[in-house]
Order: sequence, then structure tokens, then C-alpha cells
Amino acid sequence: MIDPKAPWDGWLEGEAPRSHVVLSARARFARNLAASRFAPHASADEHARVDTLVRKALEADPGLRAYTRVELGALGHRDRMLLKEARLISPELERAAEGRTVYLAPDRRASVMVNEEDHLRMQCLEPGARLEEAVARLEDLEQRLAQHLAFATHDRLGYLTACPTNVGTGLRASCMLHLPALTITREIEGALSGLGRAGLTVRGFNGENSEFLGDFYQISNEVTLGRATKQIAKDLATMIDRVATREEDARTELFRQRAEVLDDAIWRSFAVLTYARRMTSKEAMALLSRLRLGIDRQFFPRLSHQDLNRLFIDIQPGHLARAIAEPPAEEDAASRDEARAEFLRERLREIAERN
Amino acid sequence: MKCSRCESSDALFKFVLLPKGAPEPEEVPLCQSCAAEASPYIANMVQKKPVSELLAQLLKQQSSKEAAAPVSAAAADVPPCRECGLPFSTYKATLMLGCPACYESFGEALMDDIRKFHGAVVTAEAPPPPPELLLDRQKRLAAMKAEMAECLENEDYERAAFLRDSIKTLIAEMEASGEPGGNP
Repeated sequence: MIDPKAPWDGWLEGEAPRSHVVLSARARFARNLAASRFAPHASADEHARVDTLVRKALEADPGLRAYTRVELGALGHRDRMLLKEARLISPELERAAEGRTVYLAPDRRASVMVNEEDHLRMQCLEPGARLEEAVARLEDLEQRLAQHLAFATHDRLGYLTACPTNVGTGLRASCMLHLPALTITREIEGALSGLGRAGLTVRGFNGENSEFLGDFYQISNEVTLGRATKQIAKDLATMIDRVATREEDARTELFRQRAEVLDDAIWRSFAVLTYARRMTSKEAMALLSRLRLGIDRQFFPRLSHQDLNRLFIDIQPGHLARAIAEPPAEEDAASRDEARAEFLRERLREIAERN
Repeated sequence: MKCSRCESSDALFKFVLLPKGAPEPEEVPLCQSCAAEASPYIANMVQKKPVSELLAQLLKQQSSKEAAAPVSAAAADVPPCRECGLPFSTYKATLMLGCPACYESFGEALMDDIRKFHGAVVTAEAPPPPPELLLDRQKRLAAMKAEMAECLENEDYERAAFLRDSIKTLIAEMEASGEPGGNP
């Protein structure tokens, strides 16, 4: 149903401002149809009805007609993982799968999930620190859909959502930041300490709130009521800028004060990535994280920041499976770890041999 | 120098105390474990907790709102949603509401949760009015109903029947796009 070999990571393509610290920006709206049960408590029939209405709305708009409809229940587990890693569907939609659909924009930078927690979860992704662009495209998408669908609203509360934590604007805006220097110097706690007060929160690479794989931190708004969409986005952008600047400063400081220790760590990471025979994704992410600093140190002239950003995604299980001619069985973690190591060796060699 | 507290291990830290009114600062040599006991900052340093643990603690403080709010005494009295019948206790357990009408139905009890989480209970931007396309249909529906009522009064039953059928079709069209059409 979907071609695994197609480029799914639209948000990794193109110009990515500040991509040495900010990997990507994302903005999503949660919307529900008026006078209909919310998805978590609705029947399969009601889910199907909502999907039909969304499909018709997309077809009715000339700018949205080209979206591709994907039935998640019809996909294999690996393909669903691929879509999740490409951030086109959420982990929740990947898990639920049965009876769920998603509509994908041709450039793979926008998608409309149907019957996740809310009837519609529409989102836009952009490379680098392009949060404003993501929000602008999202608002346009929402306005187009609103021409053909009646959203559930409330005079005083705004847009109504299945979970009250999303009520109001239904907006979640976020950026994925890579903060290896702040993590090494342990300044990360201080750098993120103001978040709660600003109505913001931080999660890990895969949305966890306890582990920060690869030194990635997803900063997003948590509060959705009481501030307008534009204000939420603006406040978030300000905080992101502040944290990104602190990371840049921390890198400079690290290079100045602890160059010898750091350089050794960077080259050791490179050595393991180049020669290891087995690699878990967790270890890969930790090692690749060091390469970021190596690029800033000019150790790897042929490895760009975007190349590295792509590597972080390409070693994830779903992406990895499609890069291998005969992917091992899903339960076979050992073979997968071997395949990952081989993939990394190949890729790094390829990059080194580029002109 | 031995630790002044346990007097057995070698002192590694020197705490300098500045009690008010004392002529001179007091120096207290402490070994690693006694110092760690005295100061959480040193305890962290000494144990070299992974960053993720430190942050997890920070996040736990911030996300206490994510933990299900304790059911207040009043919650037991909240009647189920008048539209979808979802019991308030089910919402409390799942943190998911059943339908848009739950917001009005659950009233203050739900507003409490909203206030706690968002620090606000009113949107900062009014949702936009229904777009032209949808407004048109609402207007047409209202106009046709008004005309039909008039026709019935004037005993123009042929026209009334025609209007009745048009209204039915329009309502079907509205409901097909997710818009509530109300009673014909």
C-alpha cells in the first residue's frame, strides 16, 4: 500500500536554518466534529463516518485533493513504524492502527490523522527552526478544512477536544533540539528550568519524559487555553531561541576549555561507529551525538549537519528495515543490531569518499 | 585530616560555616559520605546520577498535573453527560471526555481541572464564525422554514410540501458534512 523506498521524511529535505541545534519544527491542531462522540468513546461505525467526512472535505479543496489516503490497518507493522519515524503519524495512531486512517501531503511535510484521540489531528512539519512557517501552513490547512466540516466549538472554551488538556486552541507546537554540549556540561537542567512556568514541557526523541536518547530534547507548549495560537507559537520560538543559543555558547566553551578530553571522546565515537559489528539504536544515537560536536570542530568536512540529522532517523528500526535487501525478522534484535552496524559503516564510508 | 563528623574517613571537603554573630567563619572538614549527607548538591556530584535522572525529577515536579487529579468530594455528585451518557467517574479515570456536550454537562467539576491545568478557563481567541459555505446553508434552512410556516398559515399546501422536501434534502446535505441540521 505504501512504497517503503519512497522518501517519507519530507521534513528532512530542504533548507534547514540552525539545523546544527534545531532538527525540526512541528505544529498540530486537534479538532473534532460538532455533535459527534469523541473518538476514544466512539464505535467503529462512527469512526468510519468521520473518516468519510474528512475524505470528502479534502477532496472538495483544490489544494488538498492530492493528499494520499492510507489505511493503517492494511499496513504491515514495519511500514507503520516507518510512518511514525517519519513523524507523519503519532505513536498512538501506530498502536491503534485498526480502522484508523491518515492523509499525507505530497511533500510529506503535512498529514491529517483521523480518529486518533481527536477526530482530526492535522500537523505540519518543517526542517530546522522554521516554527513560524509550520504554524502558518497549519492555519491554512485548518481554514481549508473548516470550509467543509463543522468543528465542535464552545463560546468560552474555544475548540473542544477529547482530552481537556488540549481544549482552546488545540495547538501543540514543538521543536526537536539537539543539545549535546548542555548535556555534557550538565547545564541542561538549568537551561530547561524555566519551561514549566512558561507553560512549556520537554520530552525525549520518541516522546518519553524520562529518557533523552541521543541528547535530543523536544520542547513544546503544554498549555493550550488562555493564549492565542500566534502567541503560543511566538513564546515557544523565543524559548527555543534562548535554549539554542545556550547550546551554541556551551559548545564554544567546551571547545575552549576541554578540547583534549572532548576530541578524544569524539574520535572514539567515530571509531566505534566505523568499525563496530553490532549496534543498538540507543548506542548509535549516543555515538552520533558526539559526531555533532565533531562537525563543529571541523573534523568531518564531508559530513554536514543535515547528513547527521538524516543518520539519526535512518538507523531507527523502520527506516533500517527498508535499507536492507532482506530485513531480519522483527524479533531478531541481534541481526538487526548487526545490520545497523553494517549500515553505519557503509554510510560513513560513503560520506568519507564523497568529493 | 579526618572527617570531623565520623572521625574515621579522610576529609575530602571543607564546609565553611558563617554563623551570625560569630567572630570568625568555622571550618568543618568532612569525608565524602558525610558531605553527601549534608548537601544534596554534593550528593548529586558524588553519585554522578545520569542526566536523565536529574531531568526526570525536574519533569516530575512540572508534570504533577498529568497525574489524575484526586476525585473531589463533589465529583461523586456530578451527573453523567446529558448527550452521550458518559459517567463523570469514567472521565476521571481515562481523562477522556465522551462528546462535545460533556463540557457543559460536567460544569464546574470539569472547569476545575481545566483551570488547574491551563491556568485559564477562557479562550484568548474566539473561534472564527462558520465559513460562508456553512453559513449560507444555515441561512437558507432558516429562510425555508420561515416560508413553510407562512405557507401553512395561508393554506398554500402545494408550496409547503415543496418546501418540506427541499428542507429535508438540505438537512441531509448538511449532516453529510458533519453540520448539525436540527429537526426538520
